[in-house]
Amino acid sequence: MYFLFLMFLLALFIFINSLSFPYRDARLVPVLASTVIMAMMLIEIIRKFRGQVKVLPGEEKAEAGNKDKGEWSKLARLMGWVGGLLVGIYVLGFMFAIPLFLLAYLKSQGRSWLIAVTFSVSITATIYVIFVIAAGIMFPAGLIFA
Amino acid sequence: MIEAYKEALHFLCTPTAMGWMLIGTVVSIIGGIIPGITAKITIVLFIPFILLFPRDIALLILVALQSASVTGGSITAILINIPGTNINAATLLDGFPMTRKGEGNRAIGAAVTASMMGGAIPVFLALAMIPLLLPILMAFQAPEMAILVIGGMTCVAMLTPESTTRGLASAALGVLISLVGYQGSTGVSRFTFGSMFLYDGFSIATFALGLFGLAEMFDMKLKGEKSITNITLAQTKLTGLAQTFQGARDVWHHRWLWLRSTLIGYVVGLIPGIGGEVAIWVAYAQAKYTSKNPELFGTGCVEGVIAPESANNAKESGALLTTMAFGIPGSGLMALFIGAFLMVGVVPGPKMLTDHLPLALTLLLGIVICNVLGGIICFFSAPFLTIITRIHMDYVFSAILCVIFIAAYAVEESLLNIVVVVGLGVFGLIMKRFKFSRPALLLGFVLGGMTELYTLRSIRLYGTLFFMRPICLILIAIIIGAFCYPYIKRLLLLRTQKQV
Repeated sequence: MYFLFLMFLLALFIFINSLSFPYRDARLVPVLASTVIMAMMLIEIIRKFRGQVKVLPGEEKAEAGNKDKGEWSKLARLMGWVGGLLVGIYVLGFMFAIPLFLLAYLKSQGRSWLIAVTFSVSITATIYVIFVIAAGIMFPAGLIFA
Repeated sequence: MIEAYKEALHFLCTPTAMGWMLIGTVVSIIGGIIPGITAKITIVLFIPFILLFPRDIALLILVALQSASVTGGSITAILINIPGTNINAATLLDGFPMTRKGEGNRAIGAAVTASMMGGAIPVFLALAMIPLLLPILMAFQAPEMAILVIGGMTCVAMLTPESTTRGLASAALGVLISLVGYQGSTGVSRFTFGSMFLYDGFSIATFALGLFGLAEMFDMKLKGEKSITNITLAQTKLTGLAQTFQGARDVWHHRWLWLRSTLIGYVVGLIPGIGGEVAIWVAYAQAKYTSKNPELFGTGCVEGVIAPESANNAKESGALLTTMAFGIPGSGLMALFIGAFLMVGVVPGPKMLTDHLPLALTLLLGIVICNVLGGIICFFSAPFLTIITRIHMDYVFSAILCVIFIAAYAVEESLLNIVVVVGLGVFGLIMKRFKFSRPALLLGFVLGGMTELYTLRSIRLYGTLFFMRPICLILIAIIIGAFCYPYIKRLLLLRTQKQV
């Protein structure tokens, strides 16, 4: 239910924002699209209040997610790793951050040093061959090495 | 005409031509498989070298680079839920669930066979239809295009199993997101909040990487999945190549479905500016509505793989023919082709089919050969590629995360794009949990720009009642009919049950 309200409010914000665009051409489609979203969310909310919509598998769990601390902590840990890789790329550059991330992640999951190092080196080498040599993509060096 | 065919076939059978077609096809497959690298990128990388080759070889390489990318893209869609190209998006719906059930090889076998035949056979249809094409193409103007595009989005929304309203909302949200950035006709900057990064909007690859690839990886990690496939080898009836051949047999078993989907892909692909994005969803929708078991769609049904894969390759021959015969590019990729044609001194248009008929036939037959080559390569590679689905999630997740980050950077050459992909990954996860349709969101995003362009043009030319044209009214009637069909079917079924 909260997500439906959130979508409705988002659409309302976009609708109001769109009305401020100076030309009809710029306003028309955003206004129409946000109206469609508001209408659909209103229908869903009304149906939910009237009990016409059965709670979909997973949705009850998702809405009760606040009470499931296990899933939240898993998500936080996951975002931690994702964020860590992002920061690593920004600071060290792709070619250092990626093998370090792979090594750290696999070690944190209990893999042996041999497997972690072999996997990290192979993936990094494969990425280098495909994206740098074959596709010619220039990766930034990172803050430290820039 | 026969002499032209002989000349084309003679050229295609030379070792040089076959060799370059094979190389081009392999590169095309790899480009399709790797997220972030599409046929457009591989062709753009090749174009600077085009003048180093003889004219016919250069154009043949271009055709080869484009032909099998969609086939390659279906492999990532099936195995790791990332559409290799945006016209593989419909394949996700049933392809990835098939992999989760341990039928990845079967899904690839079906996809590759359907693609191979869907790409090869319509070429002959294309040649026969040339005289009929021009009136069809000229009849489709801005109002018809607007209705067709909106119809395509509605189609996808209706396919949302749990709720059509959520599907429609998702499509509309996709349209809104596509409008972020600078608007061409007015110069107004919309929803950029002063950020230069948002000025150009988002790219389709960014969306696909975040919304499908990353979201799925997050979901599997949060659920504690040990691998992509949650069925052991012992539990699957067939494995390896045997399963891949089963997929091929499935295409024969559903040959009428394949034929309908191929025709849909070809006809819709002919229409410039619409292309595969609409064709695959229309094909998927008709597969679901005509199936004996529509409730199985979305849970790993092979028909849900055959239909879009037939359509997406069939559209390629239609698009190339439109480009060559009329000089009208059906997509950005075809616009690159026109550029390439002009670079080598060939002017696309009606005269190309008279002055350069052997060349036109060489390219069209080249599509056939490259589709077959690509199909064979993918078919026999399937058992090796599906190994990835049995590798432990720790390895898969970490490697794919790195590849997604790299692809996200490669698309826009900006680290901020990686942040966008992560954000979309989280949003995709939320959408999945709350049963909103990600395919509808993607299609709304892909078609949003076109929707606005054709709608505004239609209003400017024909007023607000632009949809009162005959073809528009027919299309609207078809859309409403398709919308109401499941409800009517349910009503009739209830009435029959009551009578019984």
